[in-house]
Amino acid sequence: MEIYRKKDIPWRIIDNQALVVNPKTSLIYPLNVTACQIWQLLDGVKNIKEIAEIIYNEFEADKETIQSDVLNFISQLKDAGLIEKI
Amino acid sequence: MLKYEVRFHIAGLNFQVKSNKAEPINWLKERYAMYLVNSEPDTKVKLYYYTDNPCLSRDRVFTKPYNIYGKIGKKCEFKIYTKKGYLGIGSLLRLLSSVLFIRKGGFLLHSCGIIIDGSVHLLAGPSGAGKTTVARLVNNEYVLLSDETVAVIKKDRRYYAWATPFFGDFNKITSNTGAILKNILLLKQSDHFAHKRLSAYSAMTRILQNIFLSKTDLTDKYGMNKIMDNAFELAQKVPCYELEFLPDNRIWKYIEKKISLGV
Repeated sequence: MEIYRKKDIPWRIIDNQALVVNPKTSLIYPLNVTACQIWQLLDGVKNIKEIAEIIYNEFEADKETIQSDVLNFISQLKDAGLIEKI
Repeated sequence: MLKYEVRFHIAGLNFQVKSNKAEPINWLKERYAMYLVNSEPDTKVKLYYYTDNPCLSRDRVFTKPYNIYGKIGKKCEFKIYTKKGYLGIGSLLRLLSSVLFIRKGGFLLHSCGIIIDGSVHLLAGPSGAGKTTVARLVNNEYVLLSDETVAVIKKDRRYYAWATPFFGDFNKITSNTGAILKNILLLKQSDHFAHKRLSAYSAMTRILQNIFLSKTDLTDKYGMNKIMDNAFELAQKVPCYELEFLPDNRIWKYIEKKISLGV
């Protein structure tokens, strides 16, 4: 399942971290370095497994934990109304 | 027939508000006394009180809770139709001003503004952070711009902060003036004085949290991307600190001697 960032959600990267705002609620979502990297990978082309694989290659943690963390984070983004699934 | 009129100046904008009712104009004359001018207006607001909204044009820029029509450019004109007694003219002007300042590269920031040694220090924070408390500590040595909302404007690649009539509980503005913005201090009540420089990321987050945002579709349409750009640039150009403070008048000397001089 591919996921993409909603087009009307403004975001900026500063110091390798991201700030994402939902204009409908005016809520601000600060994303740390890893979350920011996942956010940038949500381009509508890659699926969750591929995104988890990219993150796994960069961090020292077991594959299952990373997959679960990525899934959990994406689920939070969905609840916040910041992403769509294709 | 709009026979009632008032003109005032807020942070570089010359407003003219006309209405078919005397009450909102009289309210503005009283409340904005320090801001009244006779200058040629660049922002005209026509305020019509009707029993029904006539919906005259398609230029409606946002809807609830106001019916506002108009265009935003070098010169702005707005027509506002409202039912009798429904409109809060103060809230409306704060909303319009916030949109216009965003377009000028700035915004309205929830902050207490103080001029120390010719430049502005903004003490920012949400309700309860201590803005009004520190505003009460300002003596005649310093100029108080606001205890609640200051206009931050970008002009000629520099940032300025201006007084606004959108004040809070402490209704005592020293003068309608502005000056170069020196720094932004995020307030944190404590039992001692201390400060630390914030990273650009933390600064941008804290600035965004303290910008006056309206949950209207006007913000959606024109504003949110621009707000992000403005906060992004400000966070990188103007030093931001977290300021732990005690509520006593040593705060001004602390800002003047320790923070301003980079100690």
